[in-house]
Amino acid sequence: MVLGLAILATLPVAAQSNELIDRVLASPSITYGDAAYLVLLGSGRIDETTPIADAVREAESAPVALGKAAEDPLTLGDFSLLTMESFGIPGGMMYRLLPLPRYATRELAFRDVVQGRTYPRMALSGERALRIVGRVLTLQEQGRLR
Amino acid sequence: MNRHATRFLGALGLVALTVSVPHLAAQEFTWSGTVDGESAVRIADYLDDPDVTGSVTAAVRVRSYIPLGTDGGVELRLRPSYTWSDDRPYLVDVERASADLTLPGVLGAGTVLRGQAGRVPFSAPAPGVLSHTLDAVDLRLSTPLVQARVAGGYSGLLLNPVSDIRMSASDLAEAADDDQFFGPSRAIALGEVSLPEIVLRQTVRVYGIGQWDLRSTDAGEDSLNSFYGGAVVQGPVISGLYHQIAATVSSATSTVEGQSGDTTALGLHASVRLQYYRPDLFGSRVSLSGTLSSGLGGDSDRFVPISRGTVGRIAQLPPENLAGVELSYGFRPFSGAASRSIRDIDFSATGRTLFRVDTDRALDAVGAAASSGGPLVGTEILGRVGWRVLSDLGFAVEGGAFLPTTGSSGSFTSQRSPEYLVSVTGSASF
Repeated sequence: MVLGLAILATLPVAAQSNELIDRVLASPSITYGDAAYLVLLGSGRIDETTPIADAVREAESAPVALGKAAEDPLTLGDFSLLTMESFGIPGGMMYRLLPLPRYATRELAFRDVVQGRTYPRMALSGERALRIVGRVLTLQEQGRLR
Repeated sequence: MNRHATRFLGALGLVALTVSVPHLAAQEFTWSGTVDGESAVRIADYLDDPDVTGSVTAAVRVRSYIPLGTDGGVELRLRPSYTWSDDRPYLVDVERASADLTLPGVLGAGTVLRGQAGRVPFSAPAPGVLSHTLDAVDLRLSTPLVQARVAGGYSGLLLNPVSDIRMSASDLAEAADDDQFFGPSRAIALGEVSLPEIVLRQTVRVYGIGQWDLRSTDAGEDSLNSFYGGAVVQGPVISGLYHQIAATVSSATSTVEGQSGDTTALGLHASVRLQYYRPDLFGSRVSLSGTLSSGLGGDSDRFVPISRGTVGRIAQLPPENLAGVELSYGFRPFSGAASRSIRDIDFSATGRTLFRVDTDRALDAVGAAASSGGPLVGTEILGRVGWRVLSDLGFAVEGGAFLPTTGSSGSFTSQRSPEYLVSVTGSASF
């Protein structure tokens, strides 16, 4: 809870509810719905009152979308791709050619946003997802996302 | 089955083991590829024409992770590579094939047991002694107060062209021998105790290494066994300023087949390094270092490192009987730019002056003065621009000169003139 509040304190607006934070922190595998809400809220593309279903619809409207349902668990690669697309982070040569989860993970690892093990297909806990969003927001504040 | 065939089958087995195991853990499995190229032009009077060299290495990196319990796990790594160069159209190698184990808390709270087995990078704690890939087992135990390391390795399965384990005259003689499939065969054992940040955030490391020559010597060939003991102290001095002081004493015993009597030599390698970082000042970093590798006549003898290496980017001198002082400065002039690719343009300059420790011994270099002359060897000046265009694409251009010192104060005859080098490197990953 403390971690979630600390990270979400850096978001431009308050989180939708403590319930969501508790759910994300307790989750061994974050769902697409929760991930879309957190990432799009962080990137300023939705506000805190946006329902989870609308957040997923917004994420799916991106040129590169995951094509998953809100309750589907995301891998580290999926979450990295969602983060890259939502924040408009320019990727490397291979990401520009093939915007796939593996190259999104590699780009975020290169930028130290994804730390520790960097297997694109590994399960992603809610806590780790929150840390990743926190690091992206820090880079954004420093003007170092581009 | 001859010795080479046995070794080759051993290497194949190592590769097969590492390739097959990832299928057991398909969930956490990934791969990537890299292509690295370098082209260089060397200009010197002793070369008839400018010497143009080039090489391209393509490598595949495969990783897989098998969880063990809640926090621990084993990571399997494999990195085969193919290298083309002007003097060798193909070189297929296994740069890494290892199982890396991590077990936190296995010996109590706050402890971590780490282990590596297979073909891994293997380094001594002190610089200038051993830094090479070996087929090894490496165990490290970390506790809050002390860290311990026990490791053992073997160099006889490394390909001859990539092996830099060159300690004896026989090793050196085989370096350019295409009939030698594998490099020198040596067994290496290492023990280390480290006290992390014991006082004033200073870390103290004490270590010992034993090295045994496993060569089957023929008449006239030499073998060399050696032992090393040393200590390293490193840590911050003030904010942004870090130091490392290292010293290693060696004892090397050389035996020539067919001749009676062994020769034992004591050697010393010492180094001091200061590094200063100022991220706020265009990412500035300054490094000042000094090294000494003995050849001190009556007091001590030639220091024989396990992995040979060379001293100087251009001079490329043998590491023995040399001392040197090096100053380098690097910065990123566009570190405040909005675009990451521009931010990552990196400039650096390095100046290095080398000395002969024992002036009674001639350098093993073109144009070296016989055995007299002075201690000065020469000065190298290098400049480098590196540009990480994208996270998976980078280039670097480097150029410099080696100015040998001649005359009564120098180690070279007047025949040796300045030498120049320009190189371009590129790397991409996919």
